[in-house]
Amino acid sequence: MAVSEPEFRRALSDFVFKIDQLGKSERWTLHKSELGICAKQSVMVKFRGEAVNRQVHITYNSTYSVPVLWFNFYRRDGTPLSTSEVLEMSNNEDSMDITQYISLNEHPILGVLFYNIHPCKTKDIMNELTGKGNYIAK
Amino acid sequence: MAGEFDYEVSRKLWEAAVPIEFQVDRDDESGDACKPSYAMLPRCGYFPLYLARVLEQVRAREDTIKLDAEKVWLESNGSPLKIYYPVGVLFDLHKPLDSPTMTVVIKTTPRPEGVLPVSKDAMEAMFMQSLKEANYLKRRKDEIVSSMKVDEHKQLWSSLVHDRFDDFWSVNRRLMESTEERPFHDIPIRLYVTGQPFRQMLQPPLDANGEQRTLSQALDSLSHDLLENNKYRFISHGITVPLETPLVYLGKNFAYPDNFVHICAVRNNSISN
Repeated sequence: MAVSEPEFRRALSDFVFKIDQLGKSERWTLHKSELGICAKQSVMVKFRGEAVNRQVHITYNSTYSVPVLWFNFYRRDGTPLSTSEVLEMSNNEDSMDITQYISLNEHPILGVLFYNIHPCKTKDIMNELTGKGNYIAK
Repeated sequence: MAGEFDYEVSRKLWEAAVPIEFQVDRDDESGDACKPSYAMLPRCGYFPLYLARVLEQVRAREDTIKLDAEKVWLESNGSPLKIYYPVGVLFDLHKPLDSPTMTVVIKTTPRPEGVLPVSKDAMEAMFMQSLKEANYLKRRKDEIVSSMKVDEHKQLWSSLVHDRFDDFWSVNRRLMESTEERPFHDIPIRLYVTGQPFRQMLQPPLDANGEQRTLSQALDSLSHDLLENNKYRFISHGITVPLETPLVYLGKNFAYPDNFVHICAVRNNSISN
């Protein structure tokens, strides 16, 4: 399922608006710049009994014509979780093993390293997760 | 001829190395200045592959230093170094015009926000992600990279790590095949400007009239702002690339081992060549 960039922009704006309308505490915000459009979410989650900040971003990848999910986790003092800790966080009960497709890469808007799901797998993942909600939130 | 593969060019680019001056920024107040260490690093390699060896070299001369590859980070010209970029890209971006070397400071203070350590395994994963993306651009399907055996993927990375040109090209040759019957769909190009994320957009090899697109046209789409007033030169592998160079030629001959053509926008000034 390929998505053109204009379609992505409309869908992302619509997504952020609808989530906001639901009044959920886990809000997304929309950010536009010369480098592209990005939706961001920042929430606190538990990791081994400790509160950590989870950052999730959604950008568009023009090579594969798909959204890309970027994420990172930070302790209260601002230090990021290690790779093995991030992979532990990302493991879940979905039938597909996501962790083999998780890699560090440069965030196209921030220009720093974030984890992503390899965009060439996004199509498969979107199909696999239909009806299962946002696996990043798990 | 414009789209031909040139063995000599590829060999020379593979063999190119750049001189790096490493300095240690000690966090103690001893006031002792460490002597710099020098290393020639391959342009096509990555700092995470060489960091442990560089630190051993520094420790061999200054045995009072505690340097842990997991804890140090690197800085150049006052900014954290993006060690996951190829060495050649970083050198082209950061080497001062008036010096033959690029200076890299080994920092032992806590990492700045946004600077993550990069292990060799993480570097390999990033390399493979770039390689797959480059070849998806060229083929629009994962037909070649996907159909390759896993050990052929491994061979590309392993050949790079161990500096084996022939082993690398025995696999990479298939990724560089492009003919009139079966041309590249898009040319994998990334443009780098200091302090910004790299820029990347789809770059077809031919324009609407079926003519070869050139570097000038790619840059116009990627960086119209940088082309104005001749403020910048565009460098790849240390060479200011002529703007009329066809993209197909660059894609076949100037790609780094991850199969991307990495172009650096470097500010012109009165000292430039």
